[in-house]
Amino acid sequence: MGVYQIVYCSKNRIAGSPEEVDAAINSILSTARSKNKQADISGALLFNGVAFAQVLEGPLDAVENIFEHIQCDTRHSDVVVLRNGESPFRVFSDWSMAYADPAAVGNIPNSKIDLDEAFENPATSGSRIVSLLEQLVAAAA
Amino acid sequence: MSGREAPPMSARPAEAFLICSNEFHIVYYSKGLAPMLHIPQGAAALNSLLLPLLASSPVIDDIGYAAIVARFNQAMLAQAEASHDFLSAVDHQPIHLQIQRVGETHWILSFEDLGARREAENDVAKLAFTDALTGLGNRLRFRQSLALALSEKMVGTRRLALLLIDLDRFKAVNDTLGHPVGDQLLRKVSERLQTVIRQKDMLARLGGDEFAVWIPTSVEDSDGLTRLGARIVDLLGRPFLIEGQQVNIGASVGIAVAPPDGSDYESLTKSADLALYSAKAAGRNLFHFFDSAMERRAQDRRRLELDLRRALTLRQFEIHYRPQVDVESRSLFGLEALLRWQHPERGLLDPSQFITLAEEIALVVPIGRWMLEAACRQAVSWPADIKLVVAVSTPQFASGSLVDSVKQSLSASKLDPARLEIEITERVLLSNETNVVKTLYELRAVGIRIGISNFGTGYASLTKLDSFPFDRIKMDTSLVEDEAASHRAILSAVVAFGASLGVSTMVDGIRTQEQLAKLRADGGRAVQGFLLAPTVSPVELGELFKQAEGAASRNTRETEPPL
Repeated sequence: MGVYQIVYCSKNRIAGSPEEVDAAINSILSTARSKNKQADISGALLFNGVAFAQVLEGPLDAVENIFEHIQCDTRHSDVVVLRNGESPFRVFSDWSMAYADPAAVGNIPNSKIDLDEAFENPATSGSRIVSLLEQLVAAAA
Repeated sequence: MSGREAPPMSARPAEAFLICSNEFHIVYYSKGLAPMLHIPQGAAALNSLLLPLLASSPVIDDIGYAAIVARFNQAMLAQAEASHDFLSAVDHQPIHLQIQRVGETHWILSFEDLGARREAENDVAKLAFTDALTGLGNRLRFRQSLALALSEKMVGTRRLALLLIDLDRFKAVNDTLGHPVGDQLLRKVSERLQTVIRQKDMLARLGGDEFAVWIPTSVEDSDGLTRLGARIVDLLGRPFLIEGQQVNIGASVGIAVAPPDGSDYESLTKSADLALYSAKAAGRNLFHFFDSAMERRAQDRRRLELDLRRALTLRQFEIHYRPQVDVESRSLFGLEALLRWQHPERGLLDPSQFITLAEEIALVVPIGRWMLEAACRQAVSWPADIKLVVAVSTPQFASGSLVDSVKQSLSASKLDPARLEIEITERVLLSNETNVVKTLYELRAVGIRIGISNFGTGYASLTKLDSFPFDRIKMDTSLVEDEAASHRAILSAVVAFGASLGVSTMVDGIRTQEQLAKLRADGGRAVQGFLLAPTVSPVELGELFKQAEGAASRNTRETEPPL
C-alpha cells in the first residue's frame, strides 16, 4: 500500500554548546518518536551540525499535520522541500524516527553529509538524501 | 384550526403557544408547546382543559400557576391583553408569557424562553464578529477591540503596536490550485499566526488574504516587535503542505506604534498601511516599521496621481520621436513615438517617472489611445517615406479596444495605414496566445505593420514566433549593451532568422561606434539609438527632416548609379 512521503532539509537554529545542541536534538527525537508512533508515521532525521534533512512517511493527513507542526518550530529555518508525493512503500518502516548521527558518517564510503548541495538543487537531491539516510540508518543498526 | 400539528407558519419552530376558548378548552396548540412546558407531547390533547395542563407542567410551580391564572382572569375581565414573566422551575431561565385575544371567543397564550433568545442573540453577535473560515475575529471585531484599546490612556512607556499582514502570491495559489486549497491555506496561516501571539494580543482576519494583530507593548520592547515582525515573515514564508501539494507564499508586514504613529484607530491603521505598502514595494517578504518619510512619499504620490488624472484634459502630454536609421545609407526611415509629460512644476517627465502610477490608476489605456491618435495626426504632415512607430502597452492590448483605437486614429488622421507600425513587446506576445494572435491578424487586416520589441528578454522560442504575423523584430537594448559573447551570438542569429523569415530586424540602443561596427559585421541594417540620431521633440522634427533630405541627396550623389 502506498504512503505519502516528504523529504526536506532546513538550517539549524539551535544555538549553544555541543552538549546543549545534543540535548535539543534528543528532545526533538523523543517528541517526534512518540508523536509519530501515534500518527502511524515513520521516518528518519539527519543532522550534520549545520543543517537537517528529514524524511516523513505515512498517511497524507498525518504527514501534513506533522509537517505543519514542524514548520512552526523555531529551532530550524530555511526549509526547502526536496521531494513530496506518493511512495510505493515505506523506506523507514521500522522507525518512528531513525536518527543518523554525524559520528556515523565516517562508516559510509564515498558519501558525505554535505547538505549544501540539497539547498542548491532541491529538485535533484530528494532521492540522494533518502538513500543516504537509508545507508546511515542501516550502518547504525 | 382543526389539525393537531402547527402549520409551518413561522421560521421559529420552537414557538410555543396554544389557543383556548373562553371556557378554557384548548382548540389548538403548537409543536413547541410540550418541550417548552416540559410535558409529554400528547398531554395537550384537543378539547382538554387549560388549567390542569398548566398545573401539570414542571416548569410552572404553584406560585407561578396562581399568578398565571390571576393574570388570565384579569385579561378576561378587562377583555385586554396581559403578560407575565416568571422563572422556569426547571432551569431558572426567564420565561415570558403573553396573553392575547383572538376574536371574541378565544385567547392565545404564547410562551417565550428569554434565556434562549439571549443565547441566540449572543450567537448572532458572535457570528457577526467572527471570520467563519478561520474562526478568528473579523474586521469588525478587530476594529472594535483596537479602538477600545486605544481609548485607554497610554501612560509612561506603554505602547500599542498594530501589525498589518498581507499574504504575497495568495491570489496565484487560489487561481492555480483552486479555492478549497486557498481556504485551507488561510486556515493554516491563521494557525501559524496563533503560535506567535500571546493571550493578550488580538489576531484577526480582516478579509481576503489580510490579517492583523495588535499587541500591547512598551518603548523598552522595540526589539520584541522587530522579532515578531521577522518571525511572522519567516513563518509564513515556510512551505505549506496542502492535499499533498507544496504551497509557497510569503507575507509582507507593516508595523505602526501608538501613540507616536497615530493615537486613534484611523490614523494608526493608515500608518500601518503605509508601512505595509512600503514593505510590499521593497520586494515583499519583508516587514517595515512606519516612518514619517512614508507619509511624505504617499502625499507626493497622491499629488502626482491628481496631476496625472488632469494631465490629459490639460493637454500636458506631448510626443517625442526616436529616429530609426538605416545603418548603411544613414537615411531616416521611421520615427518611434515616445510619450512625454510636460509637468507644470517638475518639468519634462519620461514614462519611467509616471507609467507605473498610470497603470495603477487605470490611465494607461486612455493615455495610449490619445498618443496613437495624436501621433497619427502629426505623421500625416511628415515626408511620405517616413513611417510612424507606436508602441502599445500590455493593458492596451488586454483592453480589447486596440483594434478600434487604431482604426479610429487612422480614419481621423487620414494617415496611410501602410505608414503605421504598431509595436508590441515580446512579453505581450507570450502572454495569452490565442487572443494575441487574433488581435494581430485583425491589425494586419487594417493594413498596418506589426513589430515586436524587447526581443530577447521574454524567451520567445523561434518556432513559436512563426505562428505570429509580424513584420519586424526589434532586439532588446540589453543584447547590445552586454558585451558577452553569447549575446552577440544571439544577436547575429536573430538577424539571420529575421532575414530567413523575410522580416526586418532592428537594434535599439546603439550608443557607441563599436556597437555599430559589430552590428554591421553581423548583418544588421536598421538601428535606433543615441549614436546616429538622438530623440527629438516635435519642434525639432522639421530640422531633422531637412537634415535627412540633405543626407539622402548626398547619398544619391555618392552611391554608384545602378547599372
